[in-house]
Amino acid sequence: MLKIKHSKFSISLYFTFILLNLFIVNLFTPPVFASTQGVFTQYKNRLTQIRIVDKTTNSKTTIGSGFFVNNKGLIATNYHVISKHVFEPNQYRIEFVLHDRKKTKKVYPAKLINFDVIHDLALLETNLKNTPFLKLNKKSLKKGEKIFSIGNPHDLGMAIITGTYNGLTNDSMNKRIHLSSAINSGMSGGPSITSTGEIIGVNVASAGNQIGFLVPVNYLRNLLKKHAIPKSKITAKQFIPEISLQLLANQTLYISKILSSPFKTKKLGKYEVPDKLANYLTCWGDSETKELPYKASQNSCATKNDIYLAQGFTTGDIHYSHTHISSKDMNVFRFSHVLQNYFKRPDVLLTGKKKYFTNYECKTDFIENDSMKFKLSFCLRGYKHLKNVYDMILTAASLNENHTGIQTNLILAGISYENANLFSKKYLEAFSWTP
Amino acid sequence: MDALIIEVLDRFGKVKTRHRVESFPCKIGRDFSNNIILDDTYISPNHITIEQSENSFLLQDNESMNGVYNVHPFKKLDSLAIENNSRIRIGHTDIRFNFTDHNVKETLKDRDVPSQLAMLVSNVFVLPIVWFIFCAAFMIDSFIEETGLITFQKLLSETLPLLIFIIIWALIWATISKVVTHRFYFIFHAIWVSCLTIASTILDNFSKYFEFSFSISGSAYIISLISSIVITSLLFYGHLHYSTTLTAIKSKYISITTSIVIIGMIEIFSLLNATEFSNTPRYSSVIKPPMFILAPASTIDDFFAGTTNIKDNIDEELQNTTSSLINKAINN
Repeated sequence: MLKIKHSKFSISLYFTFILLNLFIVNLFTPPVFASTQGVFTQYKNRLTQIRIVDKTTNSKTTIGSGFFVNNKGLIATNYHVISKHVFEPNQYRIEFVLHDRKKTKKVYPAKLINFDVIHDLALLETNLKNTPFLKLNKKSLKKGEKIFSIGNPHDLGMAIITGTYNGLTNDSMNKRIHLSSAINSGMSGGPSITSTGEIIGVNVASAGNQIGFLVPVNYLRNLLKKHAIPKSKITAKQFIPEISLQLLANQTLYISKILSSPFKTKKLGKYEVPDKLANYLTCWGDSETKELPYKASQNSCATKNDIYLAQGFTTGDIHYSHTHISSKDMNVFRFSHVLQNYFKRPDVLLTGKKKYFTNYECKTDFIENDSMKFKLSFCLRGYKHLKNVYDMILTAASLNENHTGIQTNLILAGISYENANLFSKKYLEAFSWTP
Repeated sequence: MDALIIEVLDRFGKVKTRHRVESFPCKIGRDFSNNIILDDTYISPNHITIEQSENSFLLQDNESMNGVYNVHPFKKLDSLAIENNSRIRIGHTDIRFNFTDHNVKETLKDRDVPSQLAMLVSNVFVLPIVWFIFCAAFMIDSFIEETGLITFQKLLSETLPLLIFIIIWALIWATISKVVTHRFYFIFHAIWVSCLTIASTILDNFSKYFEFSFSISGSAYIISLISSIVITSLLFYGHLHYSTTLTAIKSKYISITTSIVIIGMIEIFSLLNATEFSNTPRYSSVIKPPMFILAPASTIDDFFAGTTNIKDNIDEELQNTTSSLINKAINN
């Protein structure tokens, strides 16, 4: 065995180093005026637990967090916390829990009066008056700023966690704040605040590993502005139609933005195909590596976040992909069969339940643009609850060459029929072939 | 009344032999001296005698070992004044008496053997040639549809099970032929099923090319539905005709009904499956080489102008659903 002998000198040097270190740290760390504990005790009375209760069994089915945004008892939370009530207002009621000074729990009813399904926000009306509330942040934040997220993780009681602000995400259609923090389920709907108690966002999601997301406070501000307009309250009867309206307004916005400029294209062999059409799309490429008598390479682009409507019911996806297939060894008959296998089934499908969607209806035909000929299949399905909202799947295979072809898919979820057509037309026009 | 018809019945009560007796007394027994000899070891050598009196026939037991019994009602007899349809049992044999003559049915015509087809079939080279064509057709088919790497063994391993199935199928029908018509006819059954399977593959491919070339969605389905009914009918007709004694018209009716029932059932199941909810769209996905395109391609604008139907179809389907779903949620 090896024994290390420390000289008295080295030990004393070591301690001196540690002491010096402590001193330096203390010297250069700015004084923390608001401790985590302080923030928590100061603001916890502005928070509440939101519960969705099944009226038949009288037991809670969903829990989340919420917070007061004015002194008239108005509560803000996530849409996804109260989505069950939106779809079945007579089956599920909304309650919120407050603790009084003696720390006894008190349960009160709350009423949904407005929501923003796109940004996952909801406003609840209560009978309470003179409620302490959180103010909305107006200052701009810097990366690395300390943020406090408050909520009720896993129904364990109100908790606070600290995180750091990491700016806005640019990979999703609707901007979110990226927070390095351990936000988790149950904290949804709770606020993330600065040390001075101003809301910078609403806790919404976690990607695990200290990656959390917030709905930026601006969207909450917009919803509150909408709420301030007289007669803007919506009733149970209007919940589902309101979702349609918001989805349609949202897709009109982003589709018209994409359609306003010419489609960027990319070269795939002798073909030009639509490239990244918006900066919130994530694109990647891949090639078939198996030993096959043909070569296939794929490029695809998709949105990262979809819009949550209810459990197992999401929408808002954009996805498109192109597969370039070529073969030197195969005869025309075999090659057309390979192309058929790609054309037969889109590489990505939207999920959905019978409860929410109809089956797809399709139209298939040969089409041509200036330089290309395709077999095209255009399919739509309807949303059983939502009027004028559709899912679209477009699949096309090029028929210009005998041994080379392009197969493409375009998937748009939660779109109007008109926009599905406009987008598809422009998408197909963007393809070209140079012999 | 000058003649008596004596019917010897089998154990199912069906007539085995009929004897017309005109001279009496008539002796029945196992001995060769009898007028009607019955080979039943429970019957005495001289079991019964039938005598004719003026207007009747009288049956007499000749003191046989096991006696004579009336069948309905069952009782022992010493003698019996025979009536029309009297039925007696001696030993293990039932005998029925008939006074009247009956018209017999028309004689069935046996098949013309050897026919031209039979001549063809009897040629030893025909079956190997048909099977060679069969294997070639199926190997070409799986060669075109195989998108991965191909070896001869792989193709053969896909074709051989089919050939084995066809041999078993032909053997089953040949056995039926043997049992019913006493002729084996294996070669005919084998050629028949092989040729029709080849025909069905050709028609199946034709329907796909038709659908692709003319861009008519669902045409492949209709063509293959009709052709499969025709081919299955032909298949059954051929097999039935050569393995049973049914008349041509009966065989036709049976084979057409059977094939419609079988294919109808398959179609009903697949139709039920097709109306099930699915996240996968169903569309005409046939793609053949570009040179087979015969239908004109439409412009992108024209194509999308025509998509309003599918929107209308969906809207029509949902016309009542949406509002009722919302109302249901609220007035639950």
